[in-house]
Amino acid sequence: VTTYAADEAGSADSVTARTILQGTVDIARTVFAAHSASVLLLDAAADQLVFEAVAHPDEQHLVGLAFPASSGIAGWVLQSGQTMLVDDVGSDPNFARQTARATGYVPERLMAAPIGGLDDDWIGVLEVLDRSDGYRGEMTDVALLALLAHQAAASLQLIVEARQAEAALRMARGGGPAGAADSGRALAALDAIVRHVAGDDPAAPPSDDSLQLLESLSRVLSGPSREGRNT
Amino acid sequence: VSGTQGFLPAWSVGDTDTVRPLPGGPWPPNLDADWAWKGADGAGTRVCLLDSGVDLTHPAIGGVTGTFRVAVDYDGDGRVEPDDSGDSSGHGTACAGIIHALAPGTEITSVKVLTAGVHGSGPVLETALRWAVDQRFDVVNLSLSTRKAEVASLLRPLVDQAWFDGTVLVASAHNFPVLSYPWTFSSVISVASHARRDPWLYFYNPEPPALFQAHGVGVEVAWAGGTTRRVTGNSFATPHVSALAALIRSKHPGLTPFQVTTILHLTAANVAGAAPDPDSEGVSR
Repeated sequence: VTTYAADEAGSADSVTARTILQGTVDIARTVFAAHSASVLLLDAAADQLVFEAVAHPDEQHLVGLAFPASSGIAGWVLQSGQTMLVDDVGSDPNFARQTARATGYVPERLMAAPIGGLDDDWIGVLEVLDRSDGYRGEMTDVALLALLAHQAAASLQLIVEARQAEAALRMARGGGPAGAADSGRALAALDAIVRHVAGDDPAAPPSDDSLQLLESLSRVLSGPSREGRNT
Repeated sequence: VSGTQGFLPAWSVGDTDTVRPLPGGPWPPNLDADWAWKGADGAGTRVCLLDSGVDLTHPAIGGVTGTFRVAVDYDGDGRVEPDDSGDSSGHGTACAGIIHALAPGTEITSVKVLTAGVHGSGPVLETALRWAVDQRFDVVNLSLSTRKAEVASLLRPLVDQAWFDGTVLVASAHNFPVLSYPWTFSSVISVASHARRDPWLYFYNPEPPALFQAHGVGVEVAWAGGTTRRVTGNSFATPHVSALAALIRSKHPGLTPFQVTTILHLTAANVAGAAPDPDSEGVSR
């Protein structure tokens, strides 16, 4: 388990999207009268699921916490795209120990629904811990969770796109950190543009065209300002 | 070859030909579960489970004769290779336990497909399904899906190949207003849930695309680490139908996927007219 560095400042779009996303998890926590609700986003490059929004007043420190995307219940929900309700999770001492160490809370009941990207595969998971026994019925719980996950998809997609665009701009301007994650996001954004224009297969790995576009963009955006300072 | 025979289109029957009999003889006029699968244990059939792996040490697990995984390289090329890493989620163990409980004589092969990674689930799904169809399993159980249209176009010929080569594909339906594959392909047996507590009860769903409904709410299952869980989801209903398909193929070898699907339809509680009391908690076998 690792903790991500604080996120980029964010554009107005991504701030709005974050507000909507927080609203979704707050609603989820309320309607299920649950201990907490959270949205996890897949960081594909790192193969990790990262807490993106958490509905619980004392658990905001979880935002940014990451764990492997290829294990656990959330990992399988992401992989399969299937909604799942699991009871008695806390009875497994292994699970309890690992979860407690990572999050400080061991649930008994867990609900998880996949979140689909706009035109991509599954990009995240909506989780609800320890929902109450209401009169909703388990089928209703699954349907309700799926609807909330569908709502979360739109804001999560906006956040992802805003981050890609910001990373691309920052790199192109030559300022800010150009870490592996930044480069990945920048390339992803540019690649999408190039492929859209060229009508190429969006599933293929990043193309040389994208790298060239990134270089050109970098020259265009950084060139005039440097010349301006020099004269 | 005489008369019109020489001019017959492929796969047609000529006027002097004997129409090929059904394997195992004609079906009874009142085809029911007694004839279709009761008394069978799945012996002689092979089920492939594309899931999160299996915990072989769990006391409820049996019949698993092979464990594999899908590995995807940097270029997105996948391959199936032997694997002994168990179950890193718990879900696969649950599904294997359900299949073994209903069809204890069937051989289960597990293919671990739990690799999110940079390429997403598409290449993993395609690699695993291609392998399973090429291996000509009797039944393939899958609860994973992709939303990528370009992956769907790779899956479509695989699904057709399975249908014509004799592999029954059973996949979990989504409870989502999104389109994903391959469960929405018409030749795939797609499964949603019913909320009755009966592992042998299944309904035909007259409202597509989900084809059948099986026990998927409050299911007691085996879980990785030797434990048990109470779970809900279409992915737990699916292995019930996979097991039934294995039982049918065990009792009636040589049936095509079309015939297996037809038998499941004819024996579904709401089609056979045997829908039990809604409050029934019992086991109807």
